[in-house]
Amino acid sequence: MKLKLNKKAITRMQGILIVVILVVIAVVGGYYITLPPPKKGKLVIDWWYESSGHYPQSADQAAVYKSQLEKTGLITVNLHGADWPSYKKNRDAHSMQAFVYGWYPDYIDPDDYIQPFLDSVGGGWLGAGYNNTEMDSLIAQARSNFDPTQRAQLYAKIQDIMVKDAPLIPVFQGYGWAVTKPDVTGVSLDVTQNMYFWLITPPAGKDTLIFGTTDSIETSLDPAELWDYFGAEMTLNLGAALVYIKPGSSAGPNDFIPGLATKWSVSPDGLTYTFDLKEGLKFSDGAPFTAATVKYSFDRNLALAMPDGPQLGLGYGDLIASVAAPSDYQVVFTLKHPFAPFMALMAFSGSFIVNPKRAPNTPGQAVEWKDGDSTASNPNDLGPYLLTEWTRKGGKDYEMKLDVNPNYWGIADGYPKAKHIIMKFYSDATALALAMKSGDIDMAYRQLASSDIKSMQSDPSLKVWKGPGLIQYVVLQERMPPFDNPKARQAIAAALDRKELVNTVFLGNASPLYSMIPNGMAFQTDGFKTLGDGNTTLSVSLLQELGYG
Amino acid sequence: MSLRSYVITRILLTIPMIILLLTFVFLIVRILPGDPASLHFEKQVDPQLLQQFKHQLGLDKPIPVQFVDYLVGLFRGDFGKSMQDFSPVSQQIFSAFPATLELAIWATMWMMSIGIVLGVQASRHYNSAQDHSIRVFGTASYAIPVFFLGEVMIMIFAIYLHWFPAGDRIYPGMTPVGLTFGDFHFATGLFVIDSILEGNVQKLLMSIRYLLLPSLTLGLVLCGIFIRLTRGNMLETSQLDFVTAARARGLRERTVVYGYALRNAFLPILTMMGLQFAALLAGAVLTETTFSWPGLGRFLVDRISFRDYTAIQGVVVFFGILVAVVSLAVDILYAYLDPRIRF
Amino acid sequence: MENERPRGRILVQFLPSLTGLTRRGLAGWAILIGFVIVAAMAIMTIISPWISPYNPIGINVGPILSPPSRAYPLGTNHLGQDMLSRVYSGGTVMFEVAILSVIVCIVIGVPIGLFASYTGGYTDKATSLVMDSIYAFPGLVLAIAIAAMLGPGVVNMALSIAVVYVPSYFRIIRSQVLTIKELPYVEAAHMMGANSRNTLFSYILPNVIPSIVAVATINFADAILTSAGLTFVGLGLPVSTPDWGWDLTYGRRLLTSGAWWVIAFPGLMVVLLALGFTLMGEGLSELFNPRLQK
Repeated sequence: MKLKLNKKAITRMQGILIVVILVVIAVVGGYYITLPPPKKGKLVIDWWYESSGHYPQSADQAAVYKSQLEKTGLITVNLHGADWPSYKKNRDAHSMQAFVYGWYPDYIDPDDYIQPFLDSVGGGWLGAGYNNTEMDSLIAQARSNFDPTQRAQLYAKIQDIMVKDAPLIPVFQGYGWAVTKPDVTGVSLDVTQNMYFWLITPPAGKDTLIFGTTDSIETSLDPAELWDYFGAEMTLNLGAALVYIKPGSSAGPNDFIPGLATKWSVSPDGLTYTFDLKEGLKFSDGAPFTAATVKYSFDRNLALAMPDGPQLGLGYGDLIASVAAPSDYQVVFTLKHPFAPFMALMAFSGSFIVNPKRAPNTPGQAVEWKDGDSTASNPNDLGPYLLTEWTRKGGKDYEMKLDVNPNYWGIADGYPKAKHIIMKFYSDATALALAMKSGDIDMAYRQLASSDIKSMQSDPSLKVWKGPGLIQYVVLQERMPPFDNPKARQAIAAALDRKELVNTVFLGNASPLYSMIPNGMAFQTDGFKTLGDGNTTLSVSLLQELGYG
Repeated sequence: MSLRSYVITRILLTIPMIILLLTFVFLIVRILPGDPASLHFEKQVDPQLLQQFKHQLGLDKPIPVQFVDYLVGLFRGDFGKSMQDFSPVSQQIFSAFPATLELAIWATMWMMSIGIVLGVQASRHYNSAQDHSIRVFGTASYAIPVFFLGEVMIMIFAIYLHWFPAGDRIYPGMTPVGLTFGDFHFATGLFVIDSILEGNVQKLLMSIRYLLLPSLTLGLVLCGIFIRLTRGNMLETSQLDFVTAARARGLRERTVVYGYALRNAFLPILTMMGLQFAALLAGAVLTETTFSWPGLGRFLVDRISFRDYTAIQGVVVFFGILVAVVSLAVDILYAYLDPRIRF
Repeated sequence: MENERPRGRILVQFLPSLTGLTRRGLAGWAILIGFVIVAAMAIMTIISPWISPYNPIGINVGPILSPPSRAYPLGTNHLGQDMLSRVYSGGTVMFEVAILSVIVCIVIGVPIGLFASYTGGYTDKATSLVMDSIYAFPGLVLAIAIAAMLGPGVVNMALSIAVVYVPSYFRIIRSQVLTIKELPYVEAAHMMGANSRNTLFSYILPNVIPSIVAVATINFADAILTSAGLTFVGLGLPVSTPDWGWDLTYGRRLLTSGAWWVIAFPGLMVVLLALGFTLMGEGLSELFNPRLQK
């Protein structure tokens, strides 16, 4: 049976269909137009962590942050891991929406924990985009003021604004750990977090200390370029500075001890520092150490202008007007403005003296690693050790050999205690822990996992040393919404639970941190406590204000 | 066909295979996901910086030009420049290779000895419980991930028993230096040989001690196929007349087995060794990571985490060429030993 | 005999019932045991959301790094996650990757194999050359290279593994096709007027299927081991997905402090699963290509 097509019926049907569709569109469109702006749904954050072991247990931290933020019910966290070099590249490219970073002190003063982060120029390297002119002026005032009462007031105001703006969220302050064989002594882990090799004694009956670490040289051994913990550690032990901070002290204003300088004085206006130098010291090639070499060192390091280096980052050029050598053994620094932590800065790796013959003054060119020639790879001199070997395998540091420097001034006093040090570089914390446990190395320093440290603490064949460690904080990229809005940043700060993080990841071996200034340092206030730990109520209300729900 | 013409034919066949392989790797690294340079930086990066970076690595040239550069470079032994510091990848490959070679050699020794001995045992007790359990072991050992077995070995022998070190290649500062005559210096990079050349017994024992666990782990995981092969071949040849005759002559069973039967089963074992070489390299990558063995495998893994795609490409190409050359060598050896297959 | 459809005659070889397997010697037992293991683990993974006592990715559901106890039968890891729940659900990723890679392999490898070997001539020679080059290459290294370029993720891992294993399918199909092509009844079919496509589908394909199944099973086993290897090397999935491979990789760090249970149980699971598939694969191969007739 064939159906005859009823053309009329079809046209009518088509007409009705079109009308129906138009009506539906009108109704639905009208509904959406007249609706209040829809809820944004959840806040999606791309959260980054460092995945190559540069910071302790970064992946674990990230997992905990994720679970804490997602407890609010209004946040979804996507985790991304990047190895350290890529992490830094991403930081420079401002491409990470939220990321965790760390900090070791360059000099012991609250300024070193404030200016490099909250100052719009000083914080440029971090790239979070924070810019507050009031903050800038407060910081400048605080660092050039010598009066503790006034400084306290200034820093209190600074930390107040820090919580209101919340560009960074301090999370915890860790511990520095070293593990050694039981008969190794002299490991000093003080507030400077410096590792003084020359104080360490090797195991009984040996003259060589075998030192294992997961660190490696990031850029080079050139103090004009390096600005990482391990580079500073090596410069400290291969090179020499005018003054040092007394090991084991609290790094107060009276804790400076002579280095290359025997005496020092400062003018009443705080703009001129005069140092008397040790006489009769020689570089390892026999050339004499004089004030002229100090002048050369500072001038050259500044002139190199390495873009990621501490000279630019800490503002040596904005601080030092000139370095003069009026006589063979006297150096005079003239400053552009008073700087409270100037002496501490002189003990920092960027102020270490280089050997002029090994450190040419070529702007933009630092002294790099040279295969097979450890002396040419190292511009540092005059320190307790000489670098006699530096091998790399597959592009990564493999072994370094340090031998006692016969020209070192401390030899008369019996330093360095260990005449030779072999440094072995391990690719991860597990390999380092295994080596320490199997007795392959005499000392392990940086970085060991909390679980390993805990098990080593109960191991009678190992000695565990503890001291202050790095601080870690969350950085929120203000160039990426919603973190251009301080409320969003505060919401994140409120949702994080520092206590849970410290107990879960570090098994209690870290302390919660509520300010960028670390615990125990002068002028610290517990600003972020006002936002709370795991304060889901506050976090949710802030997020709802922003339209998430 | 004479041996010579066989060799020539074989080499002529290997060349297109190698070129195909090189092309394949090139496609994967340079074409497949897009631009390796941008991938290296992961997200947004200053376009000028990216352009400079690409230029330094020769990645800004048109693809066909890149391909030709790549092939010509490889022919001259240039494996490209590392994305991390622009240093030549070939230098790093050749410095890391001896470690992997030594591991591979020792793993092969374990693989063959365990495989052959167990295979012979199984064949001699055909269909017994021993036979079955050996066969199951052979199959099961392949199913164990090599890094898991490695971790278990480390747990038991290094951490718990302290018999062996838990990783790395040698005690710090004790690297064997090989032969030295005043200024003349010769070292193979294989620590066992170098310590013999140096005449240092302590270093020799130490090298072996560090070598034992990783090579044993790798050998155990791959021995399964040798067990099966040996067992099968032994079962076949044991039935052959000359073996029965040897037995009838009253020769000791051990001589019969190892002297006569095994010798004839040897050729397929040799070929299999060549075929397993690829699996050996793959296993070495994981073993080296587990035991912190500073070889080419670990270098590859490190480069992955640093997203150094040119270095990854270089290592993969090197592995490919290595496998091709080894299988060529095995084939030629086989042809030399067994004239039958030349035809 | 001549009336019997050739399809049936050859197929009957590979339709043993499960009980019939045990009568086929060691190979039969291997298949049976392997199948039981695989099925059990698949079921466990599927019902894991219902039988897991805790959320496998929930942090701090238990004390940190506690050894196996009554409350947490397989212990807890460094983030306080329950290992039993993680073991139940950790196979999901592996199964997904393995199944996906096998599907891709079959979809790509089988048609290429059939077409190239049936056509013969230069197509055959060229494809064989390409496939042989890939086959000779160390599998994991190639998978690493591809996965490194594609990035993390289930699909990318599966693709990397698939590329490496396509040649195995190709080879086995090719050898089968070459043999079957010469069989008299196929020639007879030709003479009776069957065209190429008909021959391929009605005659050759059904007889190639048993080999494909055998290779696929071994492919599964290799896929599992390779995906574990890729995760170990850092090319796996992001942190929080429950995955045996991830536990195996991370558990390594906890070994030195004596927490053996984080790595042991997921490792055991991976071994069992790979073993199950391998047993099945080996048994099936032996059944279809019997070697020693003694």
